[in-house]
Amino acid sequence: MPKHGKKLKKQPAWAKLDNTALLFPVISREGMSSVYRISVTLTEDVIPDLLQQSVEKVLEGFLMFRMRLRMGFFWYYFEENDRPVPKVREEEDFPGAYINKSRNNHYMFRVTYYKKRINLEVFHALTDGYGGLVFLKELVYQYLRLAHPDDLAGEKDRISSGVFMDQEDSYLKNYKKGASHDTAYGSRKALVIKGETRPKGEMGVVHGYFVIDELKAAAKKYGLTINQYLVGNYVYAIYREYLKGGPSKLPISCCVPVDLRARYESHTMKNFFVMIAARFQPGEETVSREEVLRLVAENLKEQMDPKNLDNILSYNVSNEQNAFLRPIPIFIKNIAIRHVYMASADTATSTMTNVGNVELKEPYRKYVEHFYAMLAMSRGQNIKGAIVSYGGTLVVTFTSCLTDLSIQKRFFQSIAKDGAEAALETNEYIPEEGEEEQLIYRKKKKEKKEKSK
Amino acid sequence: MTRCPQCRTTLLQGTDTCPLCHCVTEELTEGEQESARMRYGGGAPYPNARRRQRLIHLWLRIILFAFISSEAILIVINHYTTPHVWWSAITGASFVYGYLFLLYWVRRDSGFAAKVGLQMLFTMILLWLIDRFTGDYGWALTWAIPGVILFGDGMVFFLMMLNRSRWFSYTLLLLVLGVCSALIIVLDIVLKSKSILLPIICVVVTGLYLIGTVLFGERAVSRELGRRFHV
Repeated sequence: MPKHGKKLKKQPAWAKLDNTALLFPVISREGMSSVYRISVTLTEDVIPDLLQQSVEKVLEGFLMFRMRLRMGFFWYYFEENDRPVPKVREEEDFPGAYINKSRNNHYMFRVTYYKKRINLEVFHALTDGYGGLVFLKELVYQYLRLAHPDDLAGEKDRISSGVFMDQEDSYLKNYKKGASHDTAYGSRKALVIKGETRPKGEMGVVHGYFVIDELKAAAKKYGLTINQYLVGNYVYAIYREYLKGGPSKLPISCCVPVDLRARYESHTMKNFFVMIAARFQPGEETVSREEVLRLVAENLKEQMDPKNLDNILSYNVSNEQNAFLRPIPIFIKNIAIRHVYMASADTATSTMTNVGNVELKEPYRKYVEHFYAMLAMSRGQNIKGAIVSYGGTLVVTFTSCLTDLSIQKRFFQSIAKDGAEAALETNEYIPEEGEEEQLIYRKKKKEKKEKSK
Repeated sequence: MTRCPQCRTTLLQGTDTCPLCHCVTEELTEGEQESARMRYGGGAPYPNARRRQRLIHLWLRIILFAFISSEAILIVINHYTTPHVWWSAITGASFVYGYLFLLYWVRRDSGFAAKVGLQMLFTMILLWLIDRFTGDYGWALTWAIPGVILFGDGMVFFLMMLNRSRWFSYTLLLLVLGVCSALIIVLDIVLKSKSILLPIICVVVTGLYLIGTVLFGERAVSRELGRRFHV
């Protein structure tokens, strides 16, 4: 394995892009970054030097994250990057900001920190949430080993055993030629949530922290899983707040990415998911929340059918495998891909992804408070949700480029009615310079006064 | 920490009003705060990112404003000094080209070689169009475009020296220059250009450079081309 940051004498490793990744280099730009963020909050402030060392060390083990994107004559491809690891910086931009690769030493990820939080932002062409989470977990382990050498002396200073470095294209491996091409991707347009937008490049973030047991109990009341319950409430919030419970010609269509690794016994670090969509068609009569939850859950259940997932996968790959399309030069292909994307983007109102439950090794747990994920905006989707759970807390994060937060409000209010109250945190409230110090001063003064009493 | 009675949520940042419903919040007691901390953790604040975003946009706008106001002044000067020659159109076009050039280099997210390659291709097309619409004298094909290609050869050599460990990654750019030089000489012959000395020099230099690269580069070049042209 080459020592990172040193110039390679040998030929660089290279890899083809997986089926999903083919789309992202074509459509991504400022304002539609195709970047997702997974963050971890520690119980103590992050030490930048140690974080930098950790990134350098962990990156040596992850070839997938050491890749750069290159343009071939027919396809994009990944090539091993021998440039220095980008500097870990204090967070100074909005979450999910475009990763300008040429200003990032051609790496397709970025690590930033702010106070107790470490952020990993990844260009989606590289890997999906699973891959990002594996990398972030190893980064956190490495960081904590450096930050607490005495406490974690018993831990081995290397990538955890059991982590797969597999880079197979699981789409191609599991693609069945001639499978039915009836897909869940309808060509029917979906409702687009519009409204006053924030200035270009700005993104509003709302985190909602739930106690998992309370959320489980709330979902159980309706006989649903947590995922079905959250997606259902989200669709209901859109229905009530955007459509005011009224009819709409276009359905509310909430995309839900489904990780295919378990189904196909894959351990790839590349993208391996398909999208299904929970659809709800509002009619003349106002529908109750219970009914919306039931309809959405049924819709999701139907589409989670293994045969349907096979079909979606096969349909997606069939276009890539088309012998007539493959030898078309990339600049023509890009036009076609962009066109297809534009058409398909109009069929989704929003996306809600569940990255899953994060489990850390026991000695590290006490240093980690939360994990959360967030998605950047894409065409036609001005608000998105992401779910991550860790240590008994589930965090739902809404990201939006709209100024109106009424959908998020309805979502949290509805769930609170079922007994699962959330704690909120946003990037809306930022203490002005000196305000934070003033607050601490006031608090100390108050404490002093109380003591003297 | 505060609590929104309307949304029934705990606000970790302790804001006076709820960020979702704008209802005035109630302050939690010490005991309630401790209990909330136990349930949800402490949370983590965000930095003020607005300032940086606005600064970048502001700089681009300042430059655009400077270009527009300069051009307005030049149009006025042109009008009162030499109204029969509209030289301000050339300065205007230069400002537009300059601003687009700036946006392209600042915003375009690609490698240096790709930027150089596209810029040269664009320049060649622009030169040909200028020649075509200013009398069709043929100077673009006989010396201007071959000059750009020869400059490109020099640029590729410079880039190969600069990034020696990955010198082979510029082979595609060289190949594009080779194709362009071949096309130019074909066009010169078809259009019966008066002087084809520079195009011939251009083809010979680029051709020899390309052949030399392939011969001495051996597997490095063949693998690079394998990657670039994988179907």
